[in-house]
Amino acid sequence: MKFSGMILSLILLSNISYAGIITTDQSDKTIENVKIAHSAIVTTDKGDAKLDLVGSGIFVKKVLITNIKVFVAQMFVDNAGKFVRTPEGALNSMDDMNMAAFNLTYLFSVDGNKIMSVISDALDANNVDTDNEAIQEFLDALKASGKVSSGKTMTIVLKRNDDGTTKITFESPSGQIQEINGDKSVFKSIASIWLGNTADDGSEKLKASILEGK
Amino acid sequence: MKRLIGLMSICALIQGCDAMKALDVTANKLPATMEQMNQKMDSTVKGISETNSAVREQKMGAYLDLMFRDENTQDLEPVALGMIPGAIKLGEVITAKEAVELTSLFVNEIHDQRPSAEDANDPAVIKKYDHQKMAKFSAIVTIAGFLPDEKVDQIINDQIINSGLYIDEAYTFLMARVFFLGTFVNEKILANPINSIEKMNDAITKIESIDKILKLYLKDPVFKKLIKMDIDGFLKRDAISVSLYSDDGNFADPNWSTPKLWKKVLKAFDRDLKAVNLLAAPQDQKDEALKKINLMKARVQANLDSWK
Repeated sequence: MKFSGMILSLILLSNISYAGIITTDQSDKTIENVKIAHSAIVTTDKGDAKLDLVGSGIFVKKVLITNIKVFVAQMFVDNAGKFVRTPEGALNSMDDMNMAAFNLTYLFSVDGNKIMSVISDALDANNVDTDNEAIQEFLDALKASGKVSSGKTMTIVLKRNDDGTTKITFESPSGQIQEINGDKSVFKSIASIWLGNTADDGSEKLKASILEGK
Repeated sequence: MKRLIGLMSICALIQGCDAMKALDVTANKLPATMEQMNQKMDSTVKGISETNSAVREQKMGAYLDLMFRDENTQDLEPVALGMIPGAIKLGEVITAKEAVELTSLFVNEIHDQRPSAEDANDPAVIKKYDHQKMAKFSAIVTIAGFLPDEKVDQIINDQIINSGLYIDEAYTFLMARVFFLGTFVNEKILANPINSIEKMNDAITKIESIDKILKLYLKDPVFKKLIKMDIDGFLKRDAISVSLYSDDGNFADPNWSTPKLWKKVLKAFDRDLKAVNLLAAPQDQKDEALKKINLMKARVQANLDSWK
């Protein structure tokens, strides 16, 4: 590559942030060869925040007669002691959290459109208003992820701001970070994807696995 | 016939002239000639019909062959994409009765075919047999999924409503259609932007095909239990058992929950089917397109309302 080309590439890259939004420790536990962490550190404007693992699991999607292992999910919160491990209580207990993180490691190549479609189904199952500006922006960010290859990870961090509003930080599998600001309801709306009403059998099993603290 | 009437009229005008005799003879001969012509015509029509039938059967064979080619049956899961082009072409030429007959044949072959006793424990042979059985199962669902609607209507009418010879296979066929289309609509159509009028029309038509089968219970509630598919006979794989409705009367799978599918399609009108891709068209074409979009949207809303 010519020097001028390298400079141009560096200028272009400088407009995009590439840095992990969470740092996880390593445990011996694995699901489908994905290492499951004990905790995650999230860097915020007020310093580092430690989130604890409340559960993990695998999302399996049935397509015709084939069960496809799509991703391994790990969920972390800042107030694990207040997390309610019942199907009815889990989502409401998110009112007691100021931060939550969802780490999804893909086991199967999936297109961004498909990810957006599955997440939309989960939001619909929880009567979330997908016309909400922040939710719409989040869905667009998922769509813009493009094709997610097997082995890649996407991370979603939810933070409750001092004024009660929500900040979503989304890290795409390519490492691109996007911050989305939304109203108070957005925190629970996004959490409902994994803890709320389930849209299919695969989501039901993943939720059960998280609630069991696996 | 018109020519004969014309001749008779001329005869009436020139009655008495010498030419009448010749015309009388001709007129007397005409019915016999016409009879011969009709016979020849019948024979020609029969010949054409036989040729058409032979051509149609030849096409059927070619399309089935296309479906089962090694390269098209290599990857059967999750969806046998390679078999789809052949299934679509086959759907154009196969009759409704032949479609259920083929379903019956494949179901029986999956059930009955076994390796010989000396090969029964050979893993490679077992794998090959199960692969062939899976190819036949994939053929059942893809043919059912892509058969034109009017032929499906005929299956419903001839085999189910009028209690035909292939009534059981017809239930299997209808279940296979919903099973395949539900997945196809969710995984291939709704998972991508529906950003053209033709794509939208295709989505609506396919969901209406599912809807029609789901609503058969309105004719008789017993259809809620009868429309199902039980395919067994795999050597190592589990039997495939799918029903349209679960025991509690709800849709057995969210893939064919058409009220949800209609809601998704309604959203796609606003999200994907914007007029931006028509900007270059002249105003009258844009107006026409908008009219079509509005009609389609009303059709989707009516379908959704029909479940309330």
